[in-house]
Amino acid sequence: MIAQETREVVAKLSSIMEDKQAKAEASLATTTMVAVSTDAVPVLNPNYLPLYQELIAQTQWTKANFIKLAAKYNLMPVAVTDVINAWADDALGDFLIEGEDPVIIHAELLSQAL
Amino acid sequence: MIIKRRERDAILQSLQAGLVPKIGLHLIQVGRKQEVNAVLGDIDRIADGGAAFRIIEGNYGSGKSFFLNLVKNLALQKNLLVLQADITMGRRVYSKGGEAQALFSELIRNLATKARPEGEGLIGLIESWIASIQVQVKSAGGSDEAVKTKILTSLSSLHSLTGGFDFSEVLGKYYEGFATANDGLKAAAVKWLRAEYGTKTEARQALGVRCILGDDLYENLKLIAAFSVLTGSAGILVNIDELVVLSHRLPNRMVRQANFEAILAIINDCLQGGASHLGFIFAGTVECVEDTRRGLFSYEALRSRLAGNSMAQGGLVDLSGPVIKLTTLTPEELFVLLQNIRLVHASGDPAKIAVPDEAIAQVLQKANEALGAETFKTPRKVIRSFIGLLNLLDQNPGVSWQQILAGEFIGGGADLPPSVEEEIAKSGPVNDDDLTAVTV
Repeated sequence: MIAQETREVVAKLSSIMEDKQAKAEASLATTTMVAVSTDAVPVLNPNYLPLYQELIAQTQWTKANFIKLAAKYNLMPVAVTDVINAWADDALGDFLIEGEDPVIIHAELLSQAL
Repeated sequence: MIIKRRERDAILQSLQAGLVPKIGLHLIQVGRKQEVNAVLGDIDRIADGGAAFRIIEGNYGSGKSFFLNLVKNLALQKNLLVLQADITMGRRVYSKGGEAQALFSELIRNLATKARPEGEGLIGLIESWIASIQVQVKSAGGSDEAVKTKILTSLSSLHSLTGGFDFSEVLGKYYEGFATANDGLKAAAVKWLRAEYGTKTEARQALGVRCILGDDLYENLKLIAAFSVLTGSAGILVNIDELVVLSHRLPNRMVRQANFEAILAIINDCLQGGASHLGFIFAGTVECVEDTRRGLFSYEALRSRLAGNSMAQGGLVDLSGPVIKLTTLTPEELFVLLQNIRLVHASGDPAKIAVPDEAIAQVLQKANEALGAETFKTPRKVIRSFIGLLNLLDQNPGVSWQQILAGEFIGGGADLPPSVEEEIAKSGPVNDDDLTAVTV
């Protein structure tokens, strides 16, 4: 009986943790993630897209260069990490950016997502 | 089942260290269907603009901290921010000596967002919100000064809340520090937001503001809740653990009562519609709640708010009241928990599980022989040993689980330090210092 209840609870909780529709609605409600594609997979906030394209060209950034990159696009460095990671968690299944110095880009997530 | 790399690592590493994992708890949750549904209802109510208040009650080892962290993960997934902290002697709900400010400060330090589930999410939250304004203003040709002005006007709705005016000023200063590369100004703003200024004078000298955060814990949390909505979040959930410190560690009855009164004020405000996008979950032992001499029930008004449905007996459950009672894991539940851990260890692939159910049964049997009733009262030792078994099998392909279980399996490794609840359960409460002994 407890095994059955556990299966039900884990299934329900997992559906909340993995539910793309919920994620899409959540991202719609935020000011930092506004665009949602037709298949309900969250799309990165367009303000961060040009930076993102440049960011993923390397797998590692020094802290100084990461700050410079953010400044180049008129963005704030912690926001860059958090906005991209929040999106990546939904869209790619895990955080894309890790660490502060160096800043590691988990490029393998991008190839897995293709 | 999808198991993320960092969730798997966090679960296995934390449990082996005797700690409650901060992420991935939904993967190893056992039972508690009604309790989970009750808090999911609370989360929805907060997100819809309402308020919620819960007390999670249970003996030490019953999984209160685990449950708090599970709720935290669910809340983050539902677009809430979560502020979490333990009560300690230096961190209380109410005080006149800085302990309430210390609790607020700890809550803010541990502010978790989806991108920072383990805390330290405040700066990212602020920068993400400021960046959205910055892009909007600058793309229209605006200057840094125009961005700052827009920040201040965007926060005008907070001015009616305690500390709201200074809050908007400090966010303006944070941007000013960023725009002028003045790291000192940014650091001062962060220090204020984290309630780390001890005096108003110090805060005024650094930032020109009149108040400090944390002076009024509850009102300041309402401010953070209101700000969270402006950032696009659905509200905040405040998780406070180790409530037992208030009831059984504080030696002064008046101080305890003042803290209980502060909790009552929070309950009343949340239940009467005075708060919006805000929820609280406190966790404490059965004694901490129900002891009529030192616990929450020693304060009559609190007792009447928290007392459960008197007809909910003999296995009946009524979770419409604020208290959720967690019972200690049964042997069957512990068996299922180890099955779940086994699946996480196998990264969610049933074909890769390292040991059969028979091995789990033997683990529990050996634990019962070595630890007796403690096996189920505080199962962390068993869990640690079980993960140790899985790791050994992983790293020694030629060895079987039977060979490992044939040796001294349970109780190896360093003993974990006892939790506050364990200490209090063993040694009893601290004596009151305001009692007068009279000998006739």
